[in-house]
Amino acid sequence: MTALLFLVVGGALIVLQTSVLPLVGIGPDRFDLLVPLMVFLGLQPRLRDGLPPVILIGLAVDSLSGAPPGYYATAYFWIWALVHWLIGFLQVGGTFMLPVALAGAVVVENLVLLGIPVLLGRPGPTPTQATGIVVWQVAWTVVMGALLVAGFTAVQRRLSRYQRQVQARRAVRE
Amino acid sequence: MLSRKVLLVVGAILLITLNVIGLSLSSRQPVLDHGLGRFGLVVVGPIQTAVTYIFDFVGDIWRHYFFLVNAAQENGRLRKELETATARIENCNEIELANRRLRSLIRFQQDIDQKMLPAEVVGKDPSPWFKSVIIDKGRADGVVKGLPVVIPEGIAGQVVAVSAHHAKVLLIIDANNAVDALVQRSRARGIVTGAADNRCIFKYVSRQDDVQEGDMLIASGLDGVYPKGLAIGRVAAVDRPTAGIFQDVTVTPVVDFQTLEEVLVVMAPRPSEPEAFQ
Repeated sequence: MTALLFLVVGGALIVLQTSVLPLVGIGPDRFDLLVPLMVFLGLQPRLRDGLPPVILIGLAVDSLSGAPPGYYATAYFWIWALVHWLIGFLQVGGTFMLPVALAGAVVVENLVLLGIPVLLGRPGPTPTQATGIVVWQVAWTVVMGALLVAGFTAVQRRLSRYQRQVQARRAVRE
Repeated sequence: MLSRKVLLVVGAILLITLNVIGLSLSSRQPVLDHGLGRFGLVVVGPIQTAVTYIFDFVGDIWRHYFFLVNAAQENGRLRKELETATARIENCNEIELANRRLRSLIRFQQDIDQKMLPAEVVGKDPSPWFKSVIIDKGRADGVVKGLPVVIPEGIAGQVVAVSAHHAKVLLIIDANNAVDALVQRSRARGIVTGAADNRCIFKYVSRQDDVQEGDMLIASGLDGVYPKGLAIGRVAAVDRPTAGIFQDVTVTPVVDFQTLEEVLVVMAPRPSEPEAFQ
C-alpha cells in the first residue's frame, strides 16, 4: 500500500517537475523533486515499501529524459540504497541528519548523471557550470526537500491511521 | 571465514562495477526506444498533456479577467486608433500579399514536398544535464523515430522515442545529438553537437576552413535526417589552438529552447536528399 501510494506521489512529482514548474520558469537546474522522495523511501524499514517505487520511478524518469537508459534508475537506486544502509546505525530522518542526507543525495545523483558520461569520455559541462548547478540544487533540496519529506511523512501517517481504522472495523464486524 | 562487513564491502564494489559496466553498455544506445524506454511516455505523457491543457485553460481565464477590467479604458483609446489602423491595414494587406509571393518563391523548393505536423511541447527534460522535450504527437499521428523537428527559426531536434500519442525529441543542444552542418557563407563543413549552457559546438572543422564570428550555420542535409538549408545557429566564438588540426567553434542556436512551446515535425524527407545514412 505504501509502495503504491508513493508510486502515485512520484508520478505527480514527475508531472509537476516536467510540465508545471517549467511554465513558471523553474527549471531542473534548481532541484530534482524526486530526490527527497528517494531519501524518504530509503528511510522505510521494509524493502517492499521502498525499492519497487524507486525502480519504477527511475525507469519512468529515464524514459522522459534525454539521458541514456538506466541513468536515473541507477542514481535513484544508489540514493535509496545508501540511505537504507545508513538508517541501520544513524538517525537519518532526524532534524540534523536529514538535510545532510538530502545534500548527499543530490551529490550522489549528480555523480551518476554527470560522472558516468565524463568517465566514458562524453562531453559534459565545464566544472564551473557543473559546480554552480550542483550548489544551487543542494541549497534548494536542503530547504525544499526537508519540507517535502515532512509532507511525505504526514501522508504516510494518514495512510497508516486509515489502514488501522479499516482493520478495526473489520474486526468489529467479525 | 570472511566477516559480514568485508562481504558487504566486496558486494558493494561488485555491484558498482557491474553497474558502471551496464551503464557503459547502455550508453552506446543513447535512448531506448522500446519496452522500458517508452514506459514513462505511455504512463506520464497523457497526464502531462492534461496538466498543460489545464494550465493553459486557467491562464486564459486569468488573462480574460484582466482583459475585462481594462476593456472599458481601452475601448475609448481603441476607437481613436481604429481610424488610423484602418488606413494602415489597407497598406499592410498589400505588403502581406507581396511578402507571401516573395516568400513562396524563396522557400518554394523547401516547402513544396515536405509535410509538417504541428505539435505542442507538453513536458521538458527533468535533468539539467540532458536536453529533451516531450511532444503531444506520436505513432498514431504518423510520427516515427528519427524524424527531424523544426520551428520556423530553425532546427529544434530529432525524434528519438515514440509512443502511441507522444514522442521524445532530443534537442540539438544535447551532447548526444549531432547535425551535419555547413557555414552558409564559406560552405565549410563540420558536425554540430550540443554543449553546456544551451549552446552547441561546431566540431571537426579544419583549421584552414573559413569560419568567422557571426557566420550562420545551416544543415547540410548529408546526415539524411535534417533537411538541407535549415538554420542551426550563429557562430559565437572561434578558437584556433596552436596544436591540432581542427578549430574550436562555439555556436549559439537560433532556436530559443527556453521558450519552446510549439514545434513542427517534418514528416517526410525531400526526395532529393540522400538516404544512405537513414
